[in-house]
Amino acid sequence: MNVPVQENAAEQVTINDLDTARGLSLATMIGWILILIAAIAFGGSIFANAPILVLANTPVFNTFFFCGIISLAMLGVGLRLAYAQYLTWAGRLIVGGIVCTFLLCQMLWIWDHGLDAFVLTSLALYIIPLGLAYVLNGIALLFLTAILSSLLTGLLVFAYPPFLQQTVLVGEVLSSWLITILLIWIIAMLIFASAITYNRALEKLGSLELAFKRAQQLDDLKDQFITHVNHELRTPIMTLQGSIDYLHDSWQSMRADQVQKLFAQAMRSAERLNAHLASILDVRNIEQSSQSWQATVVDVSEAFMAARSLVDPFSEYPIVATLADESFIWGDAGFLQQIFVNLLGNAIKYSPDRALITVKASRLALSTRSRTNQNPPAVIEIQIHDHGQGIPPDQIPLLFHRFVRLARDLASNIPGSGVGLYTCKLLTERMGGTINIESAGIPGQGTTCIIRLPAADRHQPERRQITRKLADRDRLAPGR
Amino acid sequence: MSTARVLIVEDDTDLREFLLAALPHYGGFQVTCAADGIQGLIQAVEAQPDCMVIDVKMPGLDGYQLVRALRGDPATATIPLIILTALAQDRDRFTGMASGADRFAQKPIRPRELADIILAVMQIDEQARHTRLQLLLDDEEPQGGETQIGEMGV
Repeated sequence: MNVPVQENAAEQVTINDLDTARGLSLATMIGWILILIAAIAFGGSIFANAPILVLANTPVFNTFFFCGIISLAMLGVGLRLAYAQYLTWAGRLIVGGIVCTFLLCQMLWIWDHGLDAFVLTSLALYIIPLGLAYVLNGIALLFLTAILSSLLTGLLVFAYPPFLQQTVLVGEVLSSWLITILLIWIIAMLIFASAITYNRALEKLGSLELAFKRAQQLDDLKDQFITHVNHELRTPIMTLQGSIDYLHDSWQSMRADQVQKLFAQAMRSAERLNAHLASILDVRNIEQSSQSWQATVVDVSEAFMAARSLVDPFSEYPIVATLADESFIWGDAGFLQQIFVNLLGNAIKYSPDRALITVKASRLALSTRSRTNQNPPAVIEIQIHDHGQGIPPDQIPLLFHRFVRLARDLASNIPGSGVGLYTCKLLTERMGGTINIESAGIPGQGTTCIIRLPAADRHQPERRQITRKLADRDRLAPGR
Repeated sequence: MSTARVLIVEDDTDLREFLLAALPHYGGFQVTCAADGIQGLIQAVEAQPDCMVIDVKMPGLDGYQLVRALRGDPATATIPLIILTALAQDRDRFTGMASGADRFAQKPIRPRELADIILAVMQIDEQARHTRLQLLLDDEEPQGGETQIGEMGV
């Protein structure tokens, strides 16, 4: 089964989404708690000291007021951003706000009491922002906060000489500070280690879920295959067996034309069975035999005409072909013919009787980044357009899987084994090309199949091994 | 006794033509055909066959929908119906019987066996058909889509 590339990206998106959702809900809760606590503490202090501070208008008061406002503002804006789903900045501001609050309290204490054992012990408070930093925003903020905390504790201890009173020994100050730094970094590392293992667990969960979904999908496809094979094979078997039974029981009393008719029915049923089995089993054959092949110059018109004579031998269907002159590709003539057979067959099967089917082939140049390349590689683009029922756009990718048919078509009486498009894709990609289907899913507007294959020059007789895939559609520029 | 008339509703052309030719030989019936569900419904109402054999997978009106439509109309509610299908898992049998059919036959089935089933269904159901018709006439409005009382062959 083909694994779509975007599933790995989708896995990562899910992990990020889960993480972000968790962070945002934590940010709102924590934001409210901290704001309330800070507001009460701040407001309470102002209220308790109001007469003294207002009248004094000291630097202490100014600092207190200023830092307090900043603290509350940071927490407030952080909370607001959490509600607005900006987790990164919400996390930064909330952590910043709480650090500011700690700083403010410690500065006020130092002002009144100087640097003492209490302040030194309280340096350990800066471990709290570490935990917050991780849960609210992640690893980057965790390390930023650890560095900031280390610097701030140093600032508090060593940058207040004017207020330093000799109540503690330098040795004690240093060792307390160092212990705090050590604690901060040990906690940071532990949180970091837990974060890594948590992410790994999430990834494993994500890929397990994905594997489970794929297994379910495979199961569904197997079910569909069995149902489909059941139905497609049993009806012709009934006709075949029944005809033989009837002939066996009554051939002697039948007229010659009756006998003929029964033989013809039996034969047709046998052929239908054969064709159906062949299309199923041949997929395996094609997968294996198409692995080793030699590239030659293939005339697109010839392959198309050969296919048309198989699919529409009596020219009953309105198929209009506009094939540019000199349309040659590097590939295998048999492969290209099979692709035409499958796509023309689909166009005929899924369109009303008189609906037009157009086939175009044109040469396009690939744009390349190399300025020295005088002859940019070219592709032949083949477009087959019908005016049939169309395909719902979201179901188009499914059709390239083996044995998948739309539910709509399974319920109809249009025969099919679900391997046509899978085979086309297999063969196209073997030849180094790409195949796409465009459809609005609207009956009447139909479907367009677009195939691009490496173009060749008619006068390139030597065989060439196809090594590169022309899968990058973004580099393609029409050379018209 | 006049010849029983059997209506076959089957979208596969070869199978339809084969049954048209072979069934009269094995069961002595008069056989007519319809190529899809809508045609089958029309012919059932017009001709009132003595039995119908209905294929499940048909475009447009599928076999189960046809059975429900026939059961919903008093004119056709008592016609013995045989569902013919390639699907054979338990849930498909259940769907078949729950839709109101009398009998469930799985493809491929030999013409002789199918003829025997048709004969059996027509005979055994005589009593049940009268009962069913009586119940329908007693009801104010017959409900289409519900399981009908009657002989359920397996």
